[in-house]
Amino acid sequence: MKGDLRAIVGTLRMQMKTTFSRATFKFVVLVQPLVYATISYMMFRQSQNESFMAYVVLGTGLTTMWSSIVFSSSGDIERERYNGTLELISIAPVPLRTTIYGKIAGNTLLGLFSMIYSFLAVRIIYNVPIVIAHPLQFVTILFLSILALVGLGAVMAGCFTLSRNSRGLMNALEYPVFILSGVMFPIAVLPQWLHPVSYTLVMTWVVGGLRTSFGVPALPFSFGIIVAVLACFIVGHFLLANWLFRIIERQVRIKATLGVQ
Amino acid sequence: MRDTVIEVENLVRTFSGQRGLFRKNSREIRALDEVSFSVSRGELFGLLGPNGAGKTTTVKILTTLLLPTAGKATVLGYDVNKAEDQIRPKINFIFGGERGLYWRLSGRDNLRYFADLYRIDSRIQKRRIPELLDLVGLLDRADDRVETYSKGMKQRLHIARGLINDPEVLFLDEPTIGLDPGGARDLRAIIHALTERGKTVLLTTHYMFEADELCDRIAIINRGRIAALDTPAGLKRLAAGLSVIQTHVYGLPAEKIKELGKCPGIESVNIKNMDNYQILEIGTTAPGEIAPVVMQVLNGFRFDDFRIREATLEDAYLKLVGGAA
Repeated sequence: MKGDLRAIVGTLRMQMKTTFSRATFKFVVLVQPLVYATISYMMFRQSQNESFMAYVVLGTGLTTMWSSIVFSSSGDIERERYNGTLELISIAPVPLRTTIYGKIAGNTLLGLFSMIYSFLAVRIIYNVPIVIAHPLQFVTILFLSILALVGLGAVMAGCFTLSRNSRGLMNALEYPVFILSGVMFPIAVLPQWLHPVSYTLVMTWVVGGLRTSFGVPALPFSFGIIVAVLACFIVGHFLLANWLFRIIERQVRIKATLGVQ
Repeated sequence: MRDTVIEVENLVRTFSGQRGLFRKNSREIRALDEVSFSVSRGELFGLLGPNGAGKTTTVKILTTLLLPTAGKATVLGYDVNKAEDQIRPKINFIFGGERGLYWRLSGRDNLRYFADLYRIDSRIQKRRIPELLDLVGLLDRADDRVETYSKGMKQRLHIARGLINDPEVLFLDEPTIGLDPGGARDLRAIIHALTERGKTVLLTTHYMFEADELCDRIAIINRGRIAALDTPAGLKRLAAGLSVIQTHVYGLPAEKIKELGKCPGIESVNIKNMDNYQILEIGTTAPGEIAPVVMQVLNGFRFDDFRIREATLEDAYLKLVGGAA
């Protein structure tokens, strides 16, 4: 147990070091939030301060955090496969699932960093005061959101470990999800027939919950229901991830998908 | 009598491949076909064969990366099929080339990370990591990023990484591939030193001289089957009585080479492409009778440096694998 904990910390440390050394990631963390913030600022500058807070500040922070946790966690598997390190970490005594959770933990810390950075960047550049109407609700939703996204990152990483053809799934999880979950605008503006699709996405509930804590409710549900739905997503993601990891460890030895020649 | 560390019995591994862009057809590729051998403790055992012969597949099964389709394989007495948790802490796997390392981390950080994955206690890590860096001659570059290392340095770091858990059995898959002669020689010296430390080593290579220099026993594998298994001296005896007719040819067409292969009395035909010419080597036990036949086939084509020499271990190997090296 102690050895596995050291492996998680070691993976987290390695993950942050290698990620920070990538120019693309520096762009995603340091430049992209400013670009998102500027685009959304132009869109929302005529609206009230609350909307600006709820859409520009949160939208910018959440898109960066989403990319960092879900995208990086699955993209890392692909990178490890092409680097030839996926096979080596798979035959180490520490189970592959432990190593993957260590990577996701590293990405979560980086995601939180980029979210806080986004908040500060918007605060400083556009001189918008950041006022959280219900801090306790905010902390609760943020905590649940991180758990739900970590679980989803694990599911994605599992899919990538098993198959080399998961890139389509990964790409489908960026802009379509931002649009369908109302990251930059309320889902109310989407056609009615798309709303059920939006409600199946964890991000809709993350965004809705955080906006509610900012005093700008975006979903026609109470805070309690949003918390309950997020809790269901967390349980569902972790159950799915654990089931995937159980079958993956044998399936990859049958399908030989850990390496490329 | 030394105890058996690796036991492979009738090992079979198939892969399914797909062809076609729109209407994909599945086909089965038999990478290993009833392979059997065993390796004793402290032995340096070589798997020698051309590309695609099944060497890497064998190693991947023994290192618990792949499951066999049929047959049985045990490492240190544990079945690779179901006892991977017992096998993994006691073995390690090193492959050739530059992949398998974190280029953006330093050499020391790479070793520290893999030490964590092998649950090595931090006190042992502090002692072992500098020792290994020293063994492979990287102590002075330990804190530089791997991306600044030469190919040879990366390969030596691979060796250090493979020793991080002080494994009882080490699998080396074409470790000298792509290295310059000096780098390959240094690496062979390190591999040789490992056996002196009591490690059991399974080495795959397609370099005959490398297997000859390092291995206690060699299995020649071709098209998923063991074609021969013996000591290097024993394998050399396969070439006893064999002579090689060798000549330089210039632009000899493939159909002429095929024609030579069909001639009675010719055991093997091998062609090596050089910059401006090809070296044609014909294995035979009756060089006196075959030489005029060869000259007749080559009639009309430019050739020179025609001679007959004694066969070497490489010729025996080429005879077994059909010149496919």
